[in-house]
Amino acid sequence: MATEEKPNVKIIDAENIEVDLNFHITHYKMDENGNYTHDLLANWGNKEIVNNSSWDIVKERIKDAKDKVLAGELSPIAYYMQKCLTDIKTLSQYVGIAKWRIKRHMKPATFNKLSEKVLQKYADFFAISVAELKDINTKN
Amino acid sequence: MKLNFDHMQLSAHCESGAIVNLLGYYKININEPIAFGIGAGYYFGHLPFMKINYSPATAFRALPGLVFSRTCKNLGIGYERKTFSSPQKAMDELDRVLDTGTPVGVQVGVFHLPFFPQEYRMHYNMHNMVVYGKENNEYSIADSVIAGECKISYEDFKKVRFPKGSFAPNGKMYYMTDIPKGEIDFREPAIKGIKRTVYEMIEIPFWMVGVKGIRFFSRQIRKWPVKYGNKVASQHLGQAILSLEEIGTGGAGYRFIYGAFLKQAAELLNKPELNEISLEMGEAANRWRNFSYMGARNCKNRSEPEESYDALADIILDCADKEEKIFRKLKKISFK
Repeated sequence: MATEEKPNVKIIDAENIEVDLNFHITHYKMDENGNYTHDLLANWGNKEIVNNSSWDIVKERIKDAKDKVLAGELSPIAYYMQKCLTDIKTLSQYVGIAKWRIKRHMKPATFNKLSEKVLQKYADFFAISVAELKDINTKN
Repeated sequence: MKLNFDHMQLSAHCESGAIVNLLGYYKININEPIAFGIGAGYYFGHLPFMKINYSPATAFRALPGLVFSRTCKNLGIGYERKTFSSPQKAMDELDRVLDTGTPVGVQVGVFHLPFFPQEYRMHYNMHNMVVYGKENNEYSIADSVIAGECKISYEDFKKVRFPKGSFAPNGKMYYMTDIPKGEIDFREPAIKGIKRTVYEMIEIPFWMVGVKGIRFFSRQIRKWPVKYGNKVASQHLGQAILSLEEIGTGGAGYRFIYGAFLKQAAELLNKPELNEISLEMGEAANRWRNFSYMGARNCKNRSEPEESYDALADIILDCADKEEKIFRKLKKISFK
């Protein structure tokens, strides 16, 4: 399991995720005689295709946000938000900042003027430091 | 203190699993399909105005919490269900109930849940598990999806009980207060469960739920490629298949579990007709499985679908017909 190998994972990092396709869950099925059985299975058939495609979509979304941040069209908040599969509504409830303010904070000009206190709120939720929040290329 | 909890079973549906584990503590032998059937968890709803992961939501089971309360009511078990305004109160109350020697079911969000596999830790707030002990500020948890005992710290637990986003549980906890003496008779509750499901599948006059909902879903699928283009259509389809097969449904959106319930009910109630219906339910479930198989191929190359959306919509229509037939038959059976 991914969590056992990396005990320090605080929240999901959809950009660098390694999906464990072998996680077993209970599946029921009916045999030819109409009897039902259940078993721990990793796959129901085409699991891999659906999973890969849904993670591809997420990764595309993240890449899109990252490109826009690097081009200076959006602030890093947009990138980190996509990275942990959050939308504005959920983010707003977690950090306690209204949706329209978050939308404003996604503009680089407004973001650069934000106080340390507000930045800390975002950083706390994304489980990163304020320095990382300000610059998405920082490596810790 | 820590309760004796060595009867834990793994199951597909987290809430039925929690019920099975809770009842097991009181030495009531029940399996997952029976708990699911008595609680009338079977359902369908396609709600395009609600978005999950930017795609319309498709539900295959009743709202979280309903299965527990219905199972308890039908079995004549007294229960208590609470939500809280503050995390501190929620934790204090949990400790108090645990101290009386009662295992407690909790509804949590999985986003901050440390022992869950990372790829499942999205903003999903309807996961259920059972707490059965507290030692050194660590809670012992029986999670019906993960084998063995799970541990979670006080701080983390506080966080997962108060997640944000849609369907936030607000620290929801539930436990049983009054267990009837002697052997529990499952016959009457099973009949009640079946009747409830029949009502919800064919008698609610609303086009987004029940069998009508399945037909509505089929119409929507037909429209997707025209309305949104192939790429978005395959994204919506992928999400529907994930909720059909992946997130703890036991396969084909709980249809297999329900078939297993009908099979057991046939024996329990001594009604051979139910055996036939359970076979039909299995066929309907296989049809749903066909849909996920074929639909998955459309997710491979998102801009060029391999299967036409019309063909997929036809499968769904067929499922709707099969299920309507099943529930019309179930309605006609007289149980007295």
